[in-house]
Amino acid sequence: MINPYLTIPQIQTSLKKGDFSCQDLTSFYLDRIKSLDPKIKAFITITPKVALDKAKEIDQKIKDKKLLGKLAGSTMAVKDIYLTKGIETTAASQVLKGYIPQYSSTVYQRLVDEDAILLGKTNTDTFAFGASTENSGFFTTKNPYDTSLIPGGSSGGSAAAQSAGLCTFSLGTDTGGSIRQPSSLCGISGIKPTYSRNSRYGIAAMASSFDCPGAFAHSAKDLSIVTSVMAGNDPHDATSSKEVVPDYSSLLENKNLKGLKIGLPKQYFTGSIDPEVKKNVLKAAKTLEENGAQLVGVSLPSTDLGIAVYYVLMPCEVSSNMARYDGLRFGQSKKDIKDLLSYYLETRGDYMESELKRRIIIGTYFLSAGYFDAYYLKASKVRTIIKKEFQDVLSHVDLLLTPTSPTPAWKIGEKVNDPLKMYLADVYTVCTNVAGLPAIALPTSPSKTNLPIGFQLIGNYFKEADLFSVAHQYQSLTNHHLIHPKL
Amino acid sequence: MNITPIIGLEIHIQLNTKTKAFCSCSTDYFKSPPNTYTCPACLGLPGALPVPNRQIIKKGILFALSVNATIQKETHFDRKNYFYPDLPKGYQISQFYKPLIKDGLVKITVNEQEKEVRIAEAHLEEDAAKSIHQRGHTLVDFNKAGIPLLEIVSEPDIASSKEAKIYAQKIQQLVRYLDISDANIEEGSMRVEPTVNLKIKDNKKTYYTPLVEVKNIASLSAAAAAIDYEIERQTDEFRKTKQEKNPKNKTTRGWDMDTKKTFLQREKEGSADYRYFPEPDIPHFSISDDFIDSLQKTLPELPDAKMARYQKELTLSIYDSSLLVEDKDLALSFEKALGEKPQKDFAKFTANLFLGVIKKHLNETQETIDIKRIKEKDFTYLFSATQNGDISSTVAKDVILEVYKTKKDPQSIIKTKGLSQISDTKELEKLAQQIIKDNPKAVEDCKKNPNSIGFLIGQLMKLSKGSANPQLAQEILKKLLG
Repeated sequence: MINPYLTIPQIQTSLKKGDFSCQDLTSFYLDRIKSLDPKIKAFITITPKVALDKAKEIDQKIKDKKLLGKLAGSTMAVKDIYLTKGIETTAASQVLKGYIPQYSSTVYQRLVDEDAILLGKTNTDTFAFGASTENSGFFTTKNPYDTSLIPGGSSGGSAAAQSAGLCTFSLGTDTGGSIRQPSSLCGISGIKPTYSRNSRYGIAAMASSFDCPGAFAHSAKDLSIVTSVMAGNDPHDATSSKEVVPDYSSLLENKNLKGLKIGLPKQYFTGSIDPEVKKNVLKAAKTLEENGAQLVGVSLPSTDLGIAVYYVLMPCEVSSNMARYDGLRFGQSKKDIKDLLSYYLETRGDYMESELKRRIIIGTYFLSAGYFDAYYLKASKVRTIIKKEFQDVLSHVDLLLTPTSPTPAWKIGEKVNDPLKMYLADVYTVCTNVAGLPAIALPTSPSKTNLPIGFQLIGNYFKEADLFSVAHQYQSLTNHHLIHPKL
Repeated sequence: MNITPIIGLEIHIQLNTKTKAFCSCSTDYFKSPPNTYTCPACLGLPGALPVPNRQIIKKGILFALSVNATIQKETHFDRKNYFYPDLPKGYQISQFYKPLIKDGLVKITVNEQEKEVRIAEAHLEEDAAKSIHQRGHTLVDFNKAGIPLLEIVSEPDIASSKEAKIYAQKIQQLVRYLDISDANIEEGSMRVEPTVNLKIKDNKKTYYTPLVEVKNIASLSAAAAAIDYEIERQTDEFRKTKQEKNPKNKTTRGWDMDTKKTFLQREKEGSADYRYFPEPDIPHFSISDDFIDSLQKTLPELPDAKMARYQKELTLSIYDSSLLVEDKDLALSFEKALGEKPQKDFAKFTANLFLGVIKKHLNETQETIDIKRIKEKDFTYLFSATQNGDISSTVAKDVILEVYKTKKDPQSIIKTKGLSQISDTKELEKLAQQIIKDNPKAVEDCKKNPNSIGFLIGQLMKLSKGSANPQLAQEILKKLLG
């Protein structure tokens, strides 16, 4: 019996020792998916052949004593908006169903090149539009801690797979909180790096100036290993940074907790926050304080405008990014239509999910002649102010510690008919995306009802190494990340 | 009614880069099999991203420098959103809020008068794909999708179809001199779209007719014809309806080559809403003064400057100069033939050979000049041979054409064809006597009016196949006629 929650270094040690082969490990995960996923519903597509072929290739390398990739033996679940050449990619939308990509996303390819093994493609809210996976065009993923609850979203499929021990690590994208919020709700670790740190090439775009590919794992250390492989400049993405990528996992002890200044922004601990969430997040801060860190009260006065800025700018970009889904070249389309206009209307009308349409309509409205200045331009200005507030605060403290989600996971169906309530699920995560800062989400003590609760550490631009280091030390002091759901 | 046409031109030129505007696909699409030069980016596949080609910015700046325009140093791309099957992303990457180029000026000469046409702005954008309508189906060829374009928008400073044509030719000439575009209208690498309306003064009141943009224009003469048609049509229309321009009644009309008429394509152009917003996939960029300076240094001598120099240094006429600079390659070939610091006589001689022979030949054969066939030594040889009286200037013209066509050297052509000038007096006397014998009437005339000797000289030249020394022939004829 293999422990499904093995970390990357543990797998590599076992492979070296010959405890199991890559094929054994891969078959184990595939079997586990087969038995558990009907309950969790994390995967849209499972790729046993791709997985076993890759595992066989790695086993051969081990046998031939060839150089192994940095992720050899690590199995991965990939959010279904990452393009995977030859493997159906749907973005969990009916409008893209059946699309077999001609090319692979850069970050996915980098992971495969380092011998990661793809187990399958995971569910998400359609095109990452949501916070619960209920907006998926196919089905809703269940929270492994309680299958009557949502796993969070939009990267809920990857988060649930991670939490249920169905993979070594998984990929998500974080546009307004879509990695950190499900991390928090599923009790796992997740990283949203600096905007531009990871290439967006080959990932179906949601809101281009916010989209941030990232990962989930069983520990901060695993996240640091995976991020070192994913990150870096990509000539296919003009916005990707040329900043050098450090070997994060070798810097895990670098940031000394002693004297570390951690800012607690007051705006993140007021309002509609669940008292237990607040208490447990502050408990995490306390743990760091007890180990030498200094907690500093700070203020980010424009925090409450973050949601407004995000829900103006994001749909603008969405409305334009969704235009290519016209049914002419990929995905599903209507047949026997009388003219071009009906073709567009019926294809988009029938195959686009309602949240997708809602955002197209909102974005189209904001960008219309006469409204551009009042919405897009104004929101862009506030975006600059939010950035500046973060920069000011981060010039005084090393990093910020805040809750990730105002509540633990909620019931499936509870907010699905109230989009505004759903949008507020992003309240603590969205400003980081507005500013483009990196943040790592970690579990703290669970609730009395044993539901996971999470917090995040927000760092300055390109300070991922600091985040990994502090997160790793936190996880060395605590064991919240070692709690797993009972399945 | 006093009518003044108000015309502005939108000119699209395809920039002649090796790769497309936002991906690394080849731009060599013309006459290539459909969909051979495509990639995820120019097909608009999910997840694909645009990466701007530095060359398009460079070429845009060169244009700006050539028309003394303002270069907006802090600039970015915008998305222009609309649905069309040939627009794979559902938006065109263009520039709207901060076009690269603003406020330029082009000088044109109309009826020997200089006129200025202001350029409001010029911006970079990508071309759409090509729709092919076939047997009731529409097929799309994405080879052209993403080809870089520079859209040059003039102010409505143009007042006639003639001015419009001259302005468009001037733009064409400029971009070819700058080597930023082939600017070939027939092949679609240059497109001209005039916007026309009229200012009408009637009973001391002034009216403006609704704006009309004309599309589907396949040549410069079609542009002129379409403008003339619109002036006439709008005049008639105004007489009938008295309708005036307002922000919502701009229309788009197409030009029909066969009927030589424009037809209504789209109404209410004024309400088109492209929902422009900054392209988030391409970072905003700054253009440094150093970069502009380095490009300024590579700027070639432009036609206006060249023309002025030909007049001043070579003392050529305005007319000859303008013909020589019309085409950059012709001008460069001419300068190659002249060599360094040419004498004025030699320049005049060479200009005559270019305009009287080579350009005529190129026009007849519809060829472009092959600069490799132009050698300074051929021209200097012919010039001195003419000066020495070895050959006549007529022969020089025949020989240079032969040199250009056959790539042989002039000496051997003169030798094989026996074109050396006859300066032998006895030989000439023989010919002169023949002419006097054959033209009794002209001889009579000449005796009455010595100035009419030119006819007899002409006949003699003809008889000698142009090889007689005309100076000597005249002296001998005069002597024989006493």
